[in-house]
Amino acid sequence: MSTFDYKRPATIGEVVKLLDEYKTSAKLLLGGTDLNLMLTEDIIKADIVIDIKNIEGLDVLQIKDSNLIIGAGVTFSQIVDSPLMKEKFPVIWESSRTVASMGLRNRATITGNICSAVPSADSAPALLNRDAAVVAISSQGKREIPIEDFFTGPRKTSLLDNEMVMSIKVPEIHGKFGGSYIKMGRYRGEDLAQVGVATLATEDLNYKISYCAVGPRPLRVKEVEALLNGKEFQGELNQELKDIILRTVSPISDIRASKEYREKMCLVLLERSLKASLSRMKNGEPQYGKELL
Amino acid sequence: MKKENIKSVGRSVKRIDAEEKARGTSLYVDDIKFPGMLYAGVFRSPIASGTIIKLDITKAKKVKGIVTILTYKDIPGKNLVPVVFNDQPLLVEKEIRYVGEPICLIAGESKEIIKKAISLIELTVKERKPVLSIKESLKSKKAVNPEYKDNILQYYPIERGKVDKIFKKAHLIIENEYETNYQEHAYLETQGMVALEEMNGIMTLYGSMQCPFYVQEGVATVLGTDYSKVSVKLMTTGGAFGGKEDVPSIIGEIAALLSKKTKRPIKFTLSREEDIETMSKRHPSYTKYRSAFDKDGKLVGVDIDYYLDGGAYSTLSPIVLWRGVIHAIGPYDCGNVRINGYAMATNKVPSGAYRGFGTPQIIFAAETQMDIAAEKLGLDPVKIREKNCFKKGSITSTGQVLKESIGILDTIKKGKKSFNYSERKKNTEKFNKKHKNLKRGVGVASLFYGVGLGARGGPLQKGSALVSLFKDGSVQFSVGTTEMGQGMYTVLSQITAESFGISFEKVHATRISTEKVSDSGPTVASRATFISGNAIKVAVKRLKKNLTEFMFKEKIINSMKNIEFKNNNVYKNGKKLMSFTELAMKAWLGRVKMIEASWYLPPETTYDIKDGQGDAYVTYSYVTNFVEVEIDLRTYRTQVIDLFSSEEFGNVINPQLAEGQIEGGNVQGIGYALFENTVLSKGKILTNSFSTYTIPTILDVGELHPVIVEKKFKEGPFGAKGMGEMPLMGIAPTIGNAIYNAIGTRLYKVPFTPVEVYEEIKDR
Repeated sequence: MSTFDYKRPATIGEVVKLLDEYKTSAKLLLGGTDLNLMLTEDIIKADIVIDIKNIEGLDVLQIKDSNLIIGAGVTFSQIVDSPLMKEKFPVIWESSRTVASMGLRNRATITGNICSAVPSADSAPALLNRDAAVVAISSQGKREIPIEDFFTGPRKTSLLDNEMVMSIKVPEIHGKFGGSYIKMGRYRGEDLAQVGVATLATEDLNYKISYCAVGPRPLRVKEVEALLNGKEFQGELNQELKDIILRTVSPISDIRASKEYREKMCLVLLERSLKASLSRMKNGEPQYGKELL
Repeated sequence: MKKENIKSVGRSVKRIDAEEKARGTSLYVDDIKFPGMLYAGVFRSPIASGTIIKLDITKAKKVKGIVTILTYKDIPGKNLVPVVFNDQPLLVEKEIRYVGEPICLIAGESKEIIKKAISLIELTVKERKPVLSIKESLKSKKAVNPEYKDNILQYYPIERGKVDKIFKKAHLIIENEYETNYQEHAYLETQGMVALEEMNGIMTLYGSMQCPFYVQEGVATVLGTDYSKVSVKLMTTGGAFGGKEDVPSIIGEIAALLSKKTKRPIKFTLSREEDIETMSKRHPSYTKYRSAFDKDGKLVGVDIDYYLDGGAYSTLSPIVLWRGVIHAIGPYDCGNVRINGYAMATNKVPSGAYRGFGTPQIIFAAETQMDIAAEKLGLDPVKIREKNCFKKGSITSTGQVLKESIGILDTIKKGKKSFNYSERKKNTEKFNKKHKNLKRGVGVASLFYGVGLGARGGPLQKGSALVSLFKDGSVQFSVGTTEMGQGMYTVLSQITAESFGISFEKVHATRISTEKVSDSGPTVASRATFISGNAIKVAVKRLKKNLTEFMFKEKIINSMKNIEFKNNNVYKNGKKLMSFTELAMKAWLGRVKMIEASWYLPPETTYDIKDGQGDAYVTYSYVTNFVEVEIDLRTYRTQVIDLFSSEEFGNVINPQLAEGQIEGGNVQGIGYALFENTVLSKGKILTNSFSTYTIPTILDVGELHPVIVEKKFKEGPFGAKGMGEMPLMGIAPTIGNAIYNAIGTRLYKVPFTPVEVYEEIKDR
């Protein structure tokens, strides 16, 4: 591990000042589950690590003006333990339960998960489906980045060098809806997703579909949504939809799985997820958190 | 007053190290720190095969905090890792034979500094095309190891009966090819050793290992010093599974060489990545298996070619292969046997010992064959095993006549009943009719296991113990085998207590060290309970004799007959003389010899290397596994629902520890069957962490149900045999057979990952 400076400012003002000064050579530390490992293993280097744990208010998790605010300090365990999240944002809740293991969820933040921007980020599909926005701050002020524009490539985001994420903002849905997130690892223990899919179905039969781990970044498949909208999903995808999906996703063959297998799973998991979402919308079954794979 | 019956053996006493492990206070190698201690690192080969043209360490040497860098030229003794054939150098001299082979040793003030120095070492090589698989090794004209004439590291045949004749007239012949991948030990604690010269110039090593005597030999060899000038001491060892049998010698040699050179303590511990890439693992295998049956379903002939991928050096391959060959036909009496076993050299990290030791690969083939035969013959898979399995007087493939403690049929019967076999089978059929994409199936597989090192163990088949009685009546012991998490300290404490007739709490196990007892061979082959338990019994017997003679001399008793040590007391003709504590104090005052070092040799084993015939092992343990699995025909994932492992290993010393061993081995077996998949590129292991090499978690193993069958073995300590390895050995075929039962697809390649299963059935 190379050496670096360490600062633990108490205000956002100090943080953005340091970011202006150090830009990409500064790394923000909160849960540290990714960062600490990458620093100790020399995968990344930093001139300064800015620990933002002392900044007040980053652990906010509440609804404000019809929007859920997830502060940058909110851990996955906080989400999993939150009745509000389970009731109103059940897919974010469901996907949070699949992240790593309990020990890691106790420290890791959902903001850290999206800022790391790995293609397999478990929290991304649910956030994409809810049209979340990332609230970023810098010395130039605050701005909101739609989550769809946030991921730009593997480990790359549209965040500027001097910006810090304050929170994630998720609009409420007022009508009836059902959703689901299905993650396929190579086994049931903590694994990275080989394929992850989240879907959402509202009462007026509008669908949202997003994937992770099947391309360079998490992605929404609006073309498929449009073709499904207004129709009751019958449990199987037709050939047209399958073709679109396989055109849209771009999984790779690696040491975890083959491209062919992953493509196949993109379809199987989507069918299962849509079925569960629709059923949950109608009668709340199967319960959120239940194994859908 | 009601008489207390003190019993230690056969009870689930709590592990003596349970609390320190639960609290996290156990001391492992990495917890040790000595003043002035340096760290060690290794510069390794980036290529699989080639010749070193130039090695330049000048820049690396100049890094601040680097104390020394050694090459093979700096080794004062022999450049050698002694195992069986002594073909492995510690450091590359000129020829590189696998990715990760050590070239230079580095000592520095920190691991970071060493990492920097490693990056500055300049190596120029002339690369050769490496030999990377068994099939390539068989074809290759050039030997991987220039010292050998070909790539066969070892060959073992078994020839018995009239194989060709029986195959000509057999009712049914089944012929298939099988393959298995590596398996990584995945011990929680990676390899590690601390070396320093302690008082009187004795090179002392503290480490994690299965055989301190191997490490002692290795260190003395590279230092060119006396064995008696090397002392090896066991730290709490966080798992081993065979992975710490021979390779700790490498770790110890490195630490000791650097300590000798720098005159400072050296700590050498491996990162997970370095450990997976450069340490031993289970041999990949390739098997051609032919079985012949008569019309009644009797196995009448086998003809097997068995190949193991040994890697670049022979290390333990000769012995691993031998055990594989002996166990190749399973627990069945078959008069006509031909087995040709080969350990092949490749340009890969040397394979080695791993729980099961060359048998899980061949059992996978054998028990799949048995299942195929059952179906073709219209027999139930359980029935065909009942029909063929060993009974009293049965003869093994090596011609050994089995006389006592043969529990295979009992494991089948008890397992079948516990598993509720017939009803479960019906239920799965009902389930499968109801579900289109989910299919369930049941599978069975049997196996046997030769306890101890057996005839190829040669001079290592021995055990010693040191038992010491104190004047307060408490007892301390040490043995030559090691505790690596399996519970040996606890089981041997039970045996010690039972032998003395005293409370378990009065017995204390001390650190294992080469300073206390003589070379007792490695802690492998499920032998610690048997070999060390018997050695302890010998020592306790002598101590009791010393005490009895003392009582006679002191006229406490008028004859030495009918003396009993039990319930913390001493009795003559059933009448209590005094408490054990009183006797200990009297004996101490009377200057009785209260320490005994003992020696135990197991009964003779024999083996003829030409035809593989002889009494290969002292005795055998037996297992029959039953499993129910569910497979998802759309995701190709297999989930174990219930696994019943029915095992016979003599009498049981500690039922709970035995169950723990069964469950732990079962989990490793499930990992081997379903999840663990090593991927290499150009001889380099890519799956070098637990994010890429997946071992099962509790969520992946279903419900485990150990079933224990007891069958006394007279020569064993309190009737015990050995059982550490068996729970892993036959899981792959059990699951494979269950998958076949569920979906009608036969799998010939381990592991059965979803991707592999998909490839097999996608075109159905």
